[in-house]
Amino acid sequence: MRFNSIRFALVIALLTTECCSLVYAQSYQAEKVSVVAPTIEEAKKSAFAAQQTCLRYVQMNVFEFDECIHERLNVKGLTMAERLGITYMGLVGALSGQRMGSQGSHMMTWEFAKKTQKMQKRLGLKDSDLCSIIPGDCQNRIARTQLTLKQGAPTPLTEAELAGAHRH
Amino acid sequence: MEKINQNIFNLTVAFFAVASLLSGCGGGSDSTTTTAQSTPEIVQTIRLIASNDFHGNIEVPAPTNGGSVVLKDAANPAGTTVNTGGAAFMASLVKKLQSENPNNIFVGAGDLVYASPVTSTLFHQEPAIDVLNQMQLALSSVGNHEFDLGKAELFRLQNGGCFPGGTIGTDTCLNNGAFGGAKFQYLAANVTDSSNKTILPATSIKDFNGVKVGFIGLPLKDTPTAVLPAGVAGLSFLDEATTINTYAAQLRASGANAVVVLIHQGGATTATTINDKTCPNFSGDIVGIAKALSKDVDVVISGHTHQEYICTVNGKLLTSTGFYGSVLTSIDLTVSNKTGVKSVTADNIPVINDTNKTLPAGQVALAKDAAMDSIVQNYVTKAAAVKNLTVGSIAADIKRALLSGSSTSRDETAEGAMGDVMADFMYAGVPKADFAITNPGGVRDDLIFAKANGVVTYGDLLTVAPFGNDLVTVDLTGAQIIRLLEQQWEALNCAAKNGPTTLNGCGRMLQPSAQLTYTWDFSKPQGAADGQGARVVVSSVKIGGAPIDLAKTYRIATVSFLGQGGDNFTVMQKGTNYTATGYKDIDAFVAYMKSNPKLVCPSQRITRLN
Repeated sequence: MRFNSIRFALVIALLTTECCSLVYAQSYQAEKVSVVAPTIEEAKKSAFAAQQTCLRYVQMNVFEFDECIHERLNVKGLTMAERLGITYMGLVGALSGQRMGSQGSHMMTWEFAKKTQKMQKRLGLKDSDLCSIIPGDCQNRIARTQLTLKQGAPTPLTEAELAGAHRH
Repeated sequence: MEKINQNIFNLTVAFFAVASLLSGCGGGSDSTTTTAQSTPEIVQTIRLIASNDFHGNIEVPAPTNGGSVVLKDAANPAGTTVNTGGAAFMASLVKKLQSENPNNIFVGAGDLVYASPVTSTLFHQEPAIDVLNQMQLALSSVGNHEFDLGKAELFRLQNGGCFPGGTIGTDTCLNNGAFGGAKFQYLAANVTDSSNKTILPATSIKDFNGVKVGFIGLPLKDTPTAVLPAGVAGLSFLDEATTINTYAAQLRASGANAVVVLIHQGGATTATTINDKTCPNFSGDIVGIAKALSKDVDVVISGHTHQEYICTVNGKLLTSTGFYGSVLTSIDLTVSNKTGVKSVTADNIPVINDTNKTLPAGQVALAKDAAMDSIVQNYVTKAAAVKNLTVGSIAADIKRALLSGSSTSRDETAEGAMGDVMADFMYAGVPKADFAITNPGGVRDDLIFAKANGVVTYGDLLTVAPFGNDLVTVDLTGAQIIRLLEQQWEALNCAAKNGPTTLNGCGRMLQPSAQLTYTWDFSKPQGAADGQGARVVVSSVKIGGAPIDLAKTYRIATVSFLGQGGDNFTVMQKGTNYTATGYKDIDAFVAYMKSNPKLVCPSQRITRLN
């Protein structure tokens, strides 16, 4: 199943995010992690697995990548660290798509920046802890994520933009 | 640009060449060295300029669709986003890079054409080939998209000739009634026909003032899975690494001092700015290929994944530019005729068309190349004329469902004749679908008889279906199809489309092809929560004239937007076998109109109770 496609209206994304965070909040209370290192190691593994499966779908758009990440997030029984790794892979993949103007990458970056930020706060992780999950330019990644959160939700692409109406 | 010495090899020749090497004629490198030792050493720095996945983007692409990049910027930790691309700007950069080193060659790594904007599509990719010729592209591998219309059309793009069935001077052979084809050479080392010969040259050797560089070009071996079967019928696509190693040895034996591979296969990094040479987290199908390459290969220029990167794998430089002509790779390869490659450096350089932006240090906004701009604008102007081409006729108005009292605003809550026609052309344009549907928001205009006495032009169809959507198929069970139909009136679509002048209150009514008929009950509640709607009379639903089988799987043709769950039709996302057919909606629409002259309004497929 594929949920939360960024093609959907903003309202769906917001509803789903809020709904999911309520559910997660209940289950995460019990397993709140105090030791950072094991969490990061577990997140690294799940991020790597998500990369192996999903990163190939970042092409002229990030829609299939987004779906792939969500499919992995919908697997039952994930630990919070595993969920963090997959979510962070979603953020980094979206940022990677943004560097080449891939369609949908701004919206996906915003969505996953929010999700990552919530999990980061809950786990008490620093930006540098997150960076260590996936190799790359940490300084740029942090700055770009912060900029995205500061700018707020991008305007959803219209159907015309999604389908490439500029081509006509 | 110096003349290129084309060496046309086929696999049979390759076999004998390799066999001769193995039978005691000496290895490729040894042979080269032996030859070179008898001559004075010559060292040349050769500039390779590379592009890939241009996809006929002769105009500036939209910034949100490949027409922008993020640059690293010491003054801005988040980097700076700049707009990029467009052939007029790309030509300026190519000229600049060429002017910096006369020992240069411009090469491509496939997918230069097709899946393209309308200005290239309308003229059967001739504009894309023309502008690449003007930029002095010398060599390119074929990509999977070069096979979109099959081998014969690929040969036409290579060798010239007017598009079969086209109108000379109108949609093909636009310049003096002729199309000369590519002045650059397509290479296809791993694509063979039934006689085991490569369908295009496998390799080429270029002599740069005493230093020889060999080039091998090839598409991914999985090309048949990426294109329509008809496009690759009778062709074999061989293993990439095995093919490359065979030809690399052969090139060395022929005196090449360096070997460059142009391959339409790629990878991806987790970089967040372009030209990040740390190549973070590189992965993808090209990695395994690069690791399997022999020492005969020095540089791999890749594509297909629409990613940009500069990496080193297995001691070989491995590059890609992204897509749509936003970036070019500039590689400086210093080569000795005695010892081979001495050094190699590379940069991915953005084709910046953003004159009003404050750029990071070292980055330059390009001016349009005037000659190229003129060529592009000529095609843009001609494209406007093509929109006046007659492609069919109607015997009466064919309209969308319109809001009460309006002659222009569509009513998305209702079935409309124009929407039904669109679904019909999708069904006709996709082999083996059980029926087709389309979203009402994608039906953008009407066909009006009085406008031109029933004559329908290409431009008319573009107005009705302006999005250039891909046609796709998705498999749904009968039960899922019922759920899909219920989503028409469930909460999200009910909230999205409603008003006092709608025919059916609220919702988005999918427009079905003739193969899907059903009845729904207006008296049942609208706006139910997701999954709770119950307005469809299940016993009334017929597919191809037979009652729907809830357990059976049906294949649905639609546009990619809806196929991916757009407009809140999330049931589509639960489908299986999502497949891009390779057809554009407009092409199927044109074909349908041509085969159905004097088209009339189709019969209704949806019945409302109460």
